[in-house]
Amino acid sequence: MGLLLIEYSITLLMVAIGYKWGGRAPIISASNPEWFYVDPLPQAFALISIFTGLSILLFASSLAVRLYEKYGTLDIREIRRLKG
Amino acid sequence: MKEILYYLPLFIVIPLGGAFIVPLASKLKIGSASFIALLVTASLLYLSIISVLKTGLGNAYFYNIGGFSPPFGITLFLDALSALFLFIISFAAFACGIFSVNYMEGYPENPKYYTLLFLMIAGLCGVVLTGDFFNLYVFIEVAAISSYALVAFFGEAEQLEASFKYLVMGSIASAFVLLAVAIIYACCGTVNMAQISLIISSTGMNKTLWMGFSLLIVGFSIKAALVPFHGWLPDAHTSAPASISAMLSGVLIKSVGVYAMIRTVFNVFGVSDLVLWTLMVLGTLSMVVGVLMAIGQWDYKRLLAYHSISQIGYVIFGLGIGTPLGILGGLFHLLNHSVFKSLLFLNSGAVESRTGTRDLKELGGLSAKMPVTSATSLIASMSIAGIPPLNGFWSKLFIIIAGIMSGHYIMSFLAVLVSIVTLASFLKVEKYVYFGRLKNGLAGVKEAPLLMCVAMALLAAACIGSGLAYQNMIGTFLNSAVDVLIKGRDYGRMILGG
Repeated sequence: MGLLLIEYSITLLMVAIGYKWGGRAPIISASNPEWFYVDPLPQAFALISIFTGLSILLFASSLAVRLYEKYGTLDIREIRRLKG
Repeated sequence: MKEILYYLPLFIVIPLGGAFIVPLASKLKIGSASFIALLVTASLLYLSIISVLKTGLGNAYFYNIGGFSPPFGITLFLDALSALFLFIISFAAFACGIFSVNYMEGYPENPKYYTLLFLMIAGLCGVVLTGDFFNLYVFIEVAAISSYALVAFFGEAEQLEASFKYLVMGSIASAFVLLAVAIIYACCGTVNMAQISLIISSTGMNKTLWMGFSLLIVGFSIKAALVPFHGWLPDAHTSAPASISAMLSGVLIKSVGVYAMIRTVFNVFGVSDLVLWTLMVLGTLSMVVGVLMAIGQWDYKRLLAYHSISQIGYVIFGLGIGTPLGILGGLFHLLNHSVFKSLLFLNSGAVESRTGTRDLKELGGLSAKMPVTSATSLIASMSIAGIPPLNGFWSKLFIIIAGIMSGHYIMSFLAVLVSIVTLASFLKVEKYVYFGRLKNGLAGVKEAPLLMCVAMALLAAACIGSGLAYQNMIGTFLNSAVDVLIKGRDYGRMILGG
């Protein structure tokens, strides 16, 4: 969950970087070339980072389920067989 | 000199295609997964050798995905440094491919193993070829997520635990990189590395850029497992299947961590004394702490994993010296480390699969039972400890000489000392595993299967070969890779200006 929060906050930052007040969708129009539009690139970045965040979340939760099966707990103080 | 090269995307397309075909073929029962793996890794090796030869004279090549030119499209870029890393990746992948044929034999899930392995290779090739920061992040994630899954592959309790730890550390590292990308984009309005380097050469660094730069360094240091950030590495490398440990240690921490770091430091942001000192201190710290942790270990693979930290420390120290000789030593050591550390991990896998244990105290006297494994492991151990005719000796010598020439006496002295401790800990491995009296219960142990031996012999031959012919190695491709780094921010001008 904490990881997800980090991901989302960065996503928000990226969208904020790209946003301009009063901007429109980034479609360059031949008739009105001076239209003021929002920077599309950060939105694409945000989309991809949401995907990677989702896949990490899925994998992490499936690992957590398996860990619970093996250890019988999700307490990180008890999941510590690896040392050294 | 730059030209368009049309086979560049193949480095990513071939393993991705392989990852797609393997499960399909196993559903339809056509061909075997391991055969496809050999085919894929062999073709990658062939392509990478061509690229090394092409870039050996300092040429650079690029490919614009979808035909959009650099400021708008995504660029793949090949120069001598990328070619060196491509060669390292594909060589280690080829050896692991051969080794896995026997190692994963009889394991019902083996198509899934190969699928993940291919995804990881695709991600790694993407990391070293890409020309923009956001793509770098995406490929790092591709490689990282498949490696998390591979670490947990056998599904035992310890492996799940190691994988979870690795996942948390890895995602935090990726978050650092992503945040850095966002900040850099906010400053420069582009994520293309070449353009960023041009912008920085014309306007200089400001505080926000320094922030982004340091976030990048922290992210890549976690990926490269430099010492303050190394917590995940020993667990992950110990728990993974042996061939995957070889890939993780031999290739993943290098291309995702070290390559990304040196490309950013030298070519995009440019070097300064502060940055070089940071690298040197991180390197020395990793060197010393890694080896001190290693010598007390009784688990075969955990010992090797700590040595990875220590040897990556050498690489970063060499690069951090910043003189041509130091960079040469660093890159050469990186190449050598990927060869001998892969070999050592494959040895440990062969021993484990034959005896069922990794505990040094329970092993002993295997040299008579497993002659090939024992001989190759002796070569690799001597090589990592820096015994003269082998490759590890030359690269460590270069690094230490470069350190002394540039006046870093204390750090160079520590490097010599670490080398001696490394020798001591590998003498321990050799004594407890291969020499000495045969332990009870090991009387029935046989030599590893043929293809495992072939893989190990191939890597051992590479150790000896690059040790004896070190001058040829330097002449053919290391020198031009060093040039790429020395030229620094000319990188941007070269790509965009033509």
